[in-house]
Amino acid sequence: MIHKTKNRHHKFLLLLIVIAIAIIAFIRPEFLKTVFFESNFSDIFMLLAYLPGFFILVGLIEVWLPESFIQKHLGKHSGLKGALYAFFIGAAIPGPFYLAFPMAAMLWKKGVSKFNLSLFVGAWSCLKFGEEIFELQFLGLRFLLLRVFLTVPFIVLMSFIMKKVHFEKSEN
Amino acid sequence: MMNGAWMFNIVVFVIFLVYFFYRKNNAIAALKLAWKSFKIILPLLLIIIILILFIDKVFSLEKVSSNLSSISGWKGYIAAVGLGSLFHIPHFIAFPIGGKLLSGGLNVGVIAAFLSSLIMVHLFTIPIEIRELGWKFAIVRNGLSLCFALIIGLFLGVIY
Repeated sequence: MIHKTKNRHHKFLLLLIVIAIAIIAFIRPEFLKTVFFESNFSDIFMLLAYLPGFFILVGLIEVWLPESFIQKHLGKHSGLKGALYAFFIGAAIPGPFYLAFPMAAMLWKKGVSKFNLSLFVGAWSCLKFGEEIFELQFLGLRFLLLRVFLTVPFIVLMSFIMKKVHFEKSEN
Repeated sequence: MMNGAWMFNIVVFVIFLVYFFYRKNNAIAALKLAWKSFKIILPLLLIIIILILFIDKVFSLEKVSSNLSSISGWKGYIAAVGLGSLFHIPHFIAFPIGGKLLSGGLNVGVIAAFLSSLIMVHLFTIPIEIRELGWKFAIVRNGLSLCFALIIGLFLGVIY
């Protein structure tokens, strides 16, 4: 039942957007033309480029790693080692930020602790090994080191706060 | 920069193929799970792409970020954090823009606040976050990240 209402919710949102586009098309058709025909689609393409590999990876991890394994290494009693694993997994997988959430949801279902989950999402957002080279190139080593050494303590602090928050997974 | 994405896809695909020949049934199960988790975000993704297309046309990031230098003091920090959360761009586009602002003589603290919120807070993907991890997680994480982006900017402006 919940699933059905959720789907209807999405359809409602899509309908709203279609109506909004129709209104814009009526008032200023030339604006709509620039949006759909003269946009820079390479940004959107970059958002989607990691999708196929990413979801196959999520599926493979879900099949490969048994729950006991993940609970042992990333669960509540994994300690400092688990936290480091979570952080490095988050920083090592390439891809745009919104893809962190399906991965995190899958890991959570398998029994990752809240602290490690938050570390994973935080590391994914602020530190990507593959892309720090651009920060080095355009902003310099000093900026890079200062930003990373300021951000990492905040990610850890945020994870401690997250541990106290009783959030729940929405039904899929 | 497309090379990174291609390489990632190819590596995962090769791993999948090897696994497919090794354990056919498990590989097919993995593929089904992949499709299932993709289906969860698909409708939201469509909506978000349309929103991003429109926001890119209404404000261009280059124009907006060059306006940052005209706002001084604490208002500049707030504006930087707010604008950063609106855009959804990969890091390798965010950093060159930061570099351009830096050579343009903008305060380093404002640039750090802008980049931090640009990479940590994404307003339009919050629906995906809520769908996957629940609304409490989304609100707490984004709220804290906004505050932290501001604090990181202020700190970095002082010690840089």
